[in-house]
Amino acid sequence: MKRVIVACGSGVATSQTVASKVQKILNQNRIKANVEAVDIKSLDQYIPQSDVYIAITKGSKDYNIPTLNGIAFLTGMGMEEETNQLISLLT
Amino acid sequence: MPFDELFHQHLIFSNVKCETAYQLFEKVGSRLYKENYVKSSYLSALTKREETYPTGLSLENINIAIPHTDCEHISSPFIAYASSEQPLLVGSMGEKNKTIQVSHYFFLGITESKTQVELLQYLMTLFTNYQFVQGLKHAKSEEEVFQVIKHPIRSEVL
Repeated sequence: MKRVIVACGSGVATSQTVASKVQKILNQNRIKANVEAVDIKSLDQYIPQSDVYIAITKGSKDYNIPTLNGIAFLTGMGMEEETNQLISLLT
Repeated sequence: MPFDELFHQHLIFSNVKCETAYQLFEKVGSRLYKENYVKSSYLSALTKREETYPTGLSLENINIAIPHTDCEHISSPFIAYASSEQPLLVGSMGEKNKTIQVSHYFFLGITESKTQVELLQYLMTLFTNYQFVQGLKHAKSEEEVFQVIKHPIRSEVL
C-alpha cells in the first residue's frame, strides 16, 4: 500500500488535522493509502519508505520524493490542485 | 469541552493600536499572565515559536494568525482573540520568508494535546465560513466579537 506522510513542527497538531483531511479525501476517491502524521524531527527516517510527502513546516531541506503543499489542505486555498496531484501520484 | 467555552469576553481585544505583531503579543500575553492563564515563560516562548514556525494563514475571505506555543507554558486552557487596528506583518505558515498582512489573531492556549486536532478542525471550519468571517470583520466592539464567536451559525458550522 502506498504511504503518504504529513509533517509539521507545530504544537496545535496541524499535521494530524491535515492527515485526517487527506485520508478523508482519499477515501472519497476510493484510493487506498496510509496517511500518517509524523514529527518533523523524525521526518528523515520516514521519507525513504514513503511515496508522497505533504509539507506544512517550511523546510530547509528538499527531499527526493514528490512533495505537496499541506497548507492548501488546511485552508482550502489551492486544495483542488494539490488533491489532483496527490491522486495522480497514488494511482 | 465544547470549544466555544474556551473563549471569554475579557480575553477579546478589539482594534488594538500597535505597529508590530510583537506589540500585540505583548499586550495579549500580559493580560493572559495577569489573569493566570499562562506562565511567565509564555510570551518569550510564543514569540520564539512564531519566529521559527509562523502561523499566518491566508484564507479565501480573510487572513488569520493562530499564535501558540507548547502546552507547558499554559496554566489554564483558553482561546484569546485580538484584532489590530492596522494590518500587521506576520510570517506565512509553511512558506519560507513570506509575510502576509493580518488583522485577526486567535491565540490558542491548549493543555491537552488530544483535543488539538479537533480544535484546529473546528477553527478552520469557522475561518472558512463566509458568514462567520463577515461577522468577525464587521464586529465593532469586544462584545460584538464575543457574540459572533459564541454563536456561529451552528447549522452550517457544526
